[in-house]
Amino acid sequence: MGAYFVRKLIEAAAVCVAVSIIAFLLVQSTGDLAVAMGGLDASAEDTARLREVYGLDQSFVQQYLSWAGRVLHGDLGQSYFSQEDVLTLILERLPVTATLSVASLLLGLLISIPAGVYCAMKPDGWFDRSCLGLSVLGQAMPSYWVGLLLILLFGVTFRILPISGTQSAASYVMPSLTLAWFVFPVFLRLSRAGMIDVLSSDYIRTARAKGLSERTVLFKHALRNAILPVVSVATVQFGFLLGGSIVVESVFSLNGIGLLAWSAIQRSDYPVVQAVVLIVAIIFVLLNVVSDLLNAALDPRLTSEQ
Amino acid sequence: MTLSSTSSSRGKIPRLLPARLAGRTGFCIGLVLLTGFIFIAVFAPFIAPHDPYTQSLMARLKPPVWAGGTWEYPFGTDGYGRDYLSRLIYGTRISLIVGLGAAALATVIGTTLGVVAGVMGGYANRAVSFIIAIRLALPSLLLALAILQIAGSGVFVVVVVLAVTHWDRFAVVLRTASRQVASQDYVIRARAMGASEMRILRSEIFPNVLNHIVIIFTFEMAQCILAAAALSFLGLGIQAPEPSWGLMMSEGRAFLVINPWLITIAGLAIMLLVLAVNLVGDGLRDLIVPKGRS
Repeated sequence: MGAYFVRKLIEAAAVCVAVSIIAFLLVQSTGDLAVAMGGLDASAEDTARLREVYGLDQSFVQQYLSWAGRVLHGDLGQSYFSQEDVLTLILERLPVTATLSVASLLLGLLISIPAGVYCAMKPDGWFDRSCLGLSVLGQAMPSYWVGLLLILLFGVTFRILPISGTQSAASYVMPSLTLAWFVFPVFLRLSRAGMIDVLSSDYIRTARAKGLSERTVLFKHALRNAILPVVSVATVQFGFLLGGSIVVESVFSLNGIGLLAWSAIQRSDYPVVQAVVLIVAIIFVLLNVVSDLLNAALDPRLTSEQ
Repeated sequence: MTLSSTSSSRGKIPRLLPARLAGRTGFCIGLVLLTGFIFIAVFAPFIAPHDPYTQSLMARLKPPVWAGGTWEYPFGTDGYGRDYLSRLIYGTRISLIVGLGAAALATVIGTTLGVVAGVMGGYANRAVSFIIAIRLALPSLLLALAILQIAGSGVFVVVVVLAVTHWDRFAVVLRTASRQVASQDYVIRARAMGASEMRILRSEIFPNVLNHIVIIFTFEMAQCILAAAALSFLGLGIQAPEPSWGLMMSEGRAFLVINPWLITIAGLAIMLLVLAVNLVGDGLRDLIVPKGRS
């Protein structure tokens, strides 16, 4: 277990370094940074001074190392646009995106796991077929379209939910529903397949033979094992939600990091884009480590396997 | 000799095909839909009632025919007075070209990496695993938007950006598949008989992993069509005045309350095309991979 843990951590660290190089290259490829930092009214001397202060005249490797050093000390640079500290900008908006991701993940799990269990009880029954049909349809719908349709329905026609902003908890309902709609098919298929698998195993037959009620068998004995793959995939999906919230946040004008990144891209405010790419990627890598460890803790066979 | 063999195989196919298609409603629906979309894309100039770019101030925001409009503009007009149906028809071309192009390029990248890792193993395998881990860690939509902003938009750039962010599934699946094939007796024998690595790849490995490529191709093509529409919707994909479906929805957002059909119809078109591609992909998987082995 210890060696497995160390190996996973080293792999994760290597991926983080590689991602940081890509994030660094992203800004480097946008042209002369001194000109970008100085803004439109900077003189040639200002530009030269900026170049010197930020070490932009040094070699590529030196620049990367000093940038990485600053990042490790929490200095992600300043926004070209508002001159604010990038880390502050991101930390201010992270709660909105985190709330949205957690809410949609929970909503998705709450709907898909019970649905998956009922599908597995009668595979190919009408409920199973309609759930699978719904998930095939769901995967074909663009997420912003679902968001816009929800706005049309609940915001414009019935006027029961706010269509934008983050003023109240109600503002999160439609965005969370939109994102939950997209994690639903993934979790439904996983919990359904896991449940069908488990229900045909010997220990479930034993539990039934002991005369336990169907509810106890399903929810106490079967679900516990069927849910294992869902747990690890949910961790990874959370990372995807963080990165994928950009579309939904822009549809609902939710002021999270997705909207921050999108407006930064439109203004060519690359330090902000770079920081969001880096942070989302690192969170994703960490979630993967957590997911691997969860899997290992739940199924010890994985750690001995090479 | 040749004649008799072709005629006998010709006799087999019509008898075999309906039997294999029977009971595969999803596959048939997908096939019909997809053929329809391809037909529309190819014959767009003959089907479209108007020019998709011609603006008309007099004909702005006309409703569709079922919502009080006229047959002059069956699906109504957009904010510039352009015929919506004609734009939708021409938009089919963009979606199909971008989806096919991006998925094809992703196939090349992912298959190469996957097969190299699977067949060579060792360090090559570790290197490819590392590249896959990096690709998965990077937020693809965000990165795609940033690259488009830096490199400029256009069909070609969109195709390349989508391919670069959608090759991972090919690599993951083909690594496993080609490793399995490479350990088969016939490959080991071919190698023992002195066949070159290129020959082994071409005539032993590739034909045996082709079914995986076809299945993932359809899946990734659907994903690329969705992603391309999202990029257009966010304003950094295919640029105006091109009739891209994502862009049409983005333009329609301003008239959400006055004419909700502007976003509804284009979204429906995307959904149907993606559904068609996915259904065909699912059907192919069932046809190629026997039940219980998927």
